[in-house]
Amino acid sequence: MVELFVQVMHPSILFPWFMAMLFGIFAGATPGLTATMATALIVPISYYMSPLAGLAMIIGATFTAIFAGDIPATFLRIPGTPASSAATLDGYQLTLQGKGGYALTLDLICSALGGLMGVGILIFVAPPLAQLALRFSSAEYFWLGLFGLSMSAVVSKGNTFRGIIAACLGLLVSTVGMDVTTGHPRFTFGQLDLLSGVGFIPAMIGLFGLSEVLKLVSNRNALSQPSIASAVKISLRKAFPVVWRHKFTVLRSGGIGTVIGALPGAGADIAAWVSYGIAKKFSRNPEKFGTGSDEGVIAPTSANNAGLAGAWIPALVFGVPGDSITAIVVGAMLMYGLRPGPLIFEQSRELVNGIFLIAVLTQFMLIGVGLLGIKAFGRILQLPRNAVIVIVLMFSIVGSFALQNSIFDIYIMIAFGIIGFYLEKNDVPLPPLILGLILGPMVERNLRVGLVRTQGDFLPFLTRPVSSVLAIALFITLFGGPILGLLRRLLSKYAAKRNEP
Amino acid sequence: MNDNNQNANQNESETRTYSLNFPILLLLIGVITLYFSSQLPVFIQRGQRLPGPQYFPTMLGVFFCVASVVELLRYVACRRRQAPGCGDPSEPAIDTTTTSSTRHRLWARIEGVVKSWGNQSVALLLVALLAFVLMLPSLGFVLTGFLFSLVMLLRLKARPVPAVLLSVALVVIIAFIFVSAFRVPLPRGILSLPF
Repeated sequence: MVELFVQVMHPSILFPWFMAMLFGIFAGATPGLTATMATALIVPISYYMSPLAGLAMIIGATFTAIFAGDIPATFLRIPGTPASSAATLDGYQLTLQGKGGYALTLDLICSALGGLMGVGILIFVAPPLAQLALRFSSAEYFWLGLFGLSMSAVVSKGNTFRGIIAACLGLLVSTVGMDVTTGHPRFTFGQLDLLSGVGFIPAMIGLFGLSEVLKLVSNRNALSQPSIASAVKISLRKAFPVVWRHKFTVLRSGGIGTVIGALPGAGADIAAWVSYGIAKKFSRNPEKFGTGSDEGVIAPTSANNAGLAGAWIPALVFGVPGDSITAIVVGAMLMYGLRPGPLIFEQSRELVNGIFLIAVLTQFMLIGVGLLGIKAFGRILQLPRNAVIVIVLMFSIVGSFALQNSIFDIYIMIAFGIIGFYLEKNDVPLPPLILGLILGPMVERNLRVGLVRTQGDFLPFLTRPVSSVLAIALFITLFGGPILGLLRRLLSKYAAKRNEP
Repeated sequence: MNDNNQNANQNESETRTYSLNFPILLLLIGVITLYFSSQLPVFIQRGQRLPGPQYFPTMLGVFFCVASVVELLRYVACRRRQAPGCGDPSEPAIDTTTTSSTRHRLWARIEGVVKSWGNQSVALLLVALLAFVLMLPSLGFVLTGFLFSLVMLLRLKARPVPAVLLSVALVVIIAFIFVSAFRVPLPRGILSLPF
């Protein structure tokens, strides 16, 4: 353990890790830049480091960015990242009462505690879950992949059907290149660059970097800058007793956040909203929610960081990412030559422990970096928008080039930027697309390998115990909502008829 | 003009749910996928035909064709209800009081699309990106990067002197990070600088 600690504290890891956290503050606190985009831009840089340093950068940047997203949410009512939209409610109300600094200090402590809880659950749940997953066959992995995809389609904003379309687009793109089992080239049109498939990293930079920039550029209003009025006062001493008083809210929200984050497809944003709602239900003074109550700040902010940690559970154990950030993590790990899945707990135990340790330490570092971020927020906002846009653009271009020194990859990045921009204009959510791209080979390989083994018989996919449960879960995910709605409508019609005479 | 544009933008954000070009695009994707999948070899093992390279893409192709029909039906239903939100996302709202004939309307619409500041900026950005990639091998990263950054900054209303300074700084920092620290050979082009 001490050895591992010394290894993690080595400057070659500690320095990029800390820099990534500072970058996380910048990306999270700048509206328009998300934690996902921060991860996407970090991956090409991390490629040139040891896997542990790369993962430390990703972990540091994302946890910090999720917190930093709450800073503009609290001060300006503009969520810095989607995971912070629930934080605009009570946090902003407190700012209006002149207590913005207090709200953010509360927020910061709860973010670190929520993250710590999520990581704690990850550490205890992941290894036994991996033991179970070792017994999975291709049928289970096929269903698991599909379940993850459909969950992400259901929970993403916009309608579910378009989410499924996005997921299938991702799956389609993943079929480009050499066929997973026979090695036959598919959809490459003679392009040698496409033989190894569409590069995941440039595609993702395009989808989350360039398309976001296109959106910003197309809207003239987005270029003007919001301003922040008052000086910020921070007092940790005032905030700790409040957190202690609401310790059960923190525990509950952290737990809920982790579980929701661990569901494939659902991420930190949903975790925050759900635990806000539940905290309001359980609260002794629910009427205060929305007017600047402490609990209204504590619940969503503990949950979103916990959700981020929870999302690592399916990503590490099954190789099925829980949200778009961990989708990038899985892609990055494959790039480092690591294969996330149950075997990683046996083959690279050291690395897994390193990830756990880094995730725990990040929560403590977050307090310091976060305080710095709250103080520096005014400065971050003073950065002209056009400069931010151009910086993101340049890093997108160089980042997609740098991985394979390939100009072709820049074209891929541009193409996916346009695709992402078009799809978002048509209300098609992007996270399912990136999940489809990552999960495509897994879903296809397991489906086909399974079918070849059973001589084309699909029945064993439904009769194995775990896979039947997953298949039912998939069915409920996709059709549960509409069926419930139909039943409710029929019941109300029936009730109306009975009341008529 | 400015206000008009903002109005158009607001309308755009509300009326983007159903548009005709989306189902058409889905159909195209479906048909193209099905065609090229049918060209892929079949997989036969011990005389039995089993799922091969064409199996999965064919499934997806069929899905996209079905999805296109579903989206088309939704679009038609939306049009029939005349609900807000069945427009083309790229069409700005048009002022029907001043434009009477259909030809006029179409023209006004095209003009609106072309003249919108946002669309122009997006187009400029894409052209600049393409130019960047095309010139990168011959001019090298330092020159193209500088030009690209400068053009974009000026378009996004930065003042000239800060724009030049920022462009220089950005190019130098990126070249330093990637070339010196990570040893990525960014294209040098005609400038034989150390990076």
